[in-house]
Amino acid sequence: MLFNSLDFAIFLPIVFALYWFVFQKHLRAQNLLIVVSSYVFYGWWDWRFLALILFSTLVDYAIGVLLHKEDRPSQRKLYLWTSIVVNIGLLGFFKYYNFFIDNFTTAFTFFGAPIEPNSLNIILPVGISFYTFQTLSYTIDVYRRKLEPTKDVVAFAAFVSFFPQLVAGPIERATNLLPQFYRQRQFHYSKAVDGLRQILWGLFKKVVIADNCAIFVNTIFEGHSNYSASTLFLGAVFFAFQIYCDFSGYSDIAIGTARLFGFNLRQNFAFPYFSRDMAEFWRRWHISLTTWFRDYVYIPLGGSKGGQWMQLRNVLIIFLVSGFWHGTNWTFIAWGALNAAYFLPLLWMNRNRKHTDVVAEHSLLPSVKELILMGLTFMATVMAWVLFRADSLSHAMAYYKGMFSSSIMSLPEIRPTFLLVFLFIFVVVEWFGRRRQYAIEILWVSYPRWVRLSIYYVIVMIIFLYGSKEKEFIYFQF
Amino acid sequence: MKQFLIQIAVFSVAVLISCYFVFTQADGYTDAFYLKFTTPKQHSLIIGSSRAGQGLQPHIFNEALTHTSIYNYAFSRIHTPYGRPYFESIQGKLDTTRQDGVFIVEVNPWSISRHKIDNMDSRKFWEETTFINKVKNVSSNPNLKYLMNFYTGRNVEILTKKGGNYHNEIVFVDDFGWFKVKLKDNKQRKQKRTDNLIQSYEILLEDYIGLSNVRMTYLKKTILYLKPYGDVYLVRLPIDPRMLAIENSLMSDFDLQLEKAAIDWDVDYINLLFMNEQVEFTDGNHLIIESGERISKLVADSIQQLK
Repeated sequence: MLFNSLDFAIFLPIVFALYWFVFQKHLRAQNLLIVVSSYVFYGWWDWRFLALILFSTLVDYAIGVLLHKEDRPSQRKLYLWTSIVVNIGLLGFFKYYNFFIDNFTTAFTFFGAPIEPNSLNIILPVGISFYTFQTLSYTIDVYRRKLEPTKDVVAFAAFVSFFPQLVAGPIERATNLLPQFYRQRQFHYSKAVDGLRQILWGLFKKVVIADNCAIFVNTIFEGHSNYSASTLFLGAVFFAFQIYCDFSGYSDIAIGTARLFGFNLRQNFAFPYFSRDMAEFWRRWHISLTTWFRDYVYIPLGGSKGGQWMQLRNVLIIFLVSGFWHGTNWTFIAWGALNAAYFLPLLWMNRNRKHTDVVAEHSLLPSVKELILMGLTFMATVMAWVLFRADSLSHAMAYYKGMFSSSIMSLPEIRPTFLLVFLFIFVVVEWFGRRRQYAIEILWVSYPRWVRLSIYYVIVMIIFLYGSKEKEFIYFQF
Repeated sequence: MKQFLIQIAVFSVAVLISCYFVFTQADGYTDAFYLKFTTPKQHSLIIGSSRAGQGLQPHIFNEALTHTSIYNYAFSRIHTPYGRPYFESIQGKLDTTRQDGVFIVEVNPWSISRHKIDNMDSRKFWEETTFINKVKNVSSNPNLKYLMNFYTGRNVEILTKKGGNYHNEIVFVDDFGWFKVKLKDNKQRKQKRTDNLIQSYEILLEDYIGLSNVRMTYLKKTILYLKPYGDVYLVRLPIDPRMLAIENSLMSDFDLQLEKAAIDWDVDYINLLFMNEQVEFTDGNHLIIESGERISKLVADSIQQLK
């Protein structure tokens, strides 16, 4: 079920009503309702893959219980690795099987030993990369004794399958989300209104900005050889907005929806395009994944222990793995490598934590220096996004070649005025809201209620009038 | 909670009313098909593909044939080949209270061919996922089901009426369901468009397998269903000779088969392929307005004579 669908618009009020009016006094029943609703939400796409979620849930629940009872380190390690093998095995099979088979075939053929392997027609289960990481975080935290394992299987199933963030995150830590299932939730007017506001902003980002950008991005990337350098440049910029608004829009809707049910999810995007260098960008982009890699891959690899070279190596690994996590294409790995190339010099020079505050925190506008730094950082990400969007490395190279031709000074052939106007408004609103969890969190709250409602009404109508038709979120494919 | 629910309810009602108002503004400019699902049931119909949708002009028939108000309920090769979905849609659109209707059934090889996505063993038609199968209420104004699920433009275009108008060209569906297309053409542009379309149909050939007995059965079913409500005429519209060559490679004996079938079904087959060289097309497939007018008059005259 898509957040931007009529199905969800009907589903959400029904679950909301059952949750607060029928099961309000029964915590376990509320949790069970969340599990059932989440399975319906997921099964709407393909009910067959519910078995995977259920399997993953039961395996990690059982291992959590076993880890708690066990004190022998070797046995505990065995349990941990069982969880890792099962979860990564599922992910590897469904996501990477054909990628490895294809690349092995190419490699063997290149070295003169052609093989004919069995490639399978595997459908990638939506959200597998997200819920796999979420359950893994639970087992690892229990193993590290950072978390008491749960004995409540319903609460655990709700934690794994919680529908607002099931298919595209934010990837929640068990330490943050799981305890919320143990506590009675109370309805708070302000929390619910805040949730709705965040949903509204998320929908605006997804339906108005991302989906409209997508139309031009698809046209430009698919027919890149027919367009001037300036148009290709514009196409790459549009994609930068598309990917940000698509994914952060999803996170906003997820966080807002969770708030309607009394849950607090973590911020996943913190206005990354207002970053002054790439290190800051990566602290602000897809925070739940970045911190997951930091805690569960980077630190076990040794982190910064072992000297600067080890640290650089570990960071490089994280970027490559992160690229590979996104998809089974060399373009994603190249994207990870390029971002590592941006980031590692900052780390090498010990300048990776230079910008930890919010840009222009105490002023209305940025300084000229800040503006230039933000512009350069944004352009660096735009260049990297070309790799992310391209169908293949050769496609990306051809696109880059086109971008750096003499026609860069010509007017782009595609100039969607309405989209440029919306993008301008969007950037301005994001700028004013950059100190908050999401752009319109406190914007307009000091205005009279009727003014506020009128503004929300205008946003809803813009979504209705200018929104592109129901499109999947990009991150579903990961 | 109470305050929250009241506010949500009031806000939602305001939004829903506004959205409904926008939908009420949808009309013939919205897209090439929408209006056809909003008009009342009809007692006389033109059915078939986009060739008929654009080429056969109801007002010409209504002038030539007395006591007839014919409605163009033809869509496109993609949506309305003969099969269960179109048959049921026609059933929904027909006013069965009268028996003096006129039914012009446009046929061409694509409309009775098997597409490779068709699964005829399980009676699955490839057009089942489209509006012709999904929009069950074909006489609702506004048609919310269509607008919410099958209208592909942005809703703002419903208000600006720009959905079908580009560069001051006329593209809209009139009150009788006719898809009027007037392009500001020059010879080069038209030639390029025609070449592109012919090329795309050459590629399209690979997706078609040839005559489908199931689709042929549905064509027969459609005709037999319509016959009690009036006179049925099978019509083959003119096309660019290059397009005809493609169609011949798909089904070389199409006209022969249809002539035979028409005799079996006791209807008349009006074959206008002899006009191929005497008319003009926007793209090799669809008649320009003036040629459509001529052909519509020709069909109307034939019907007069056959009556």
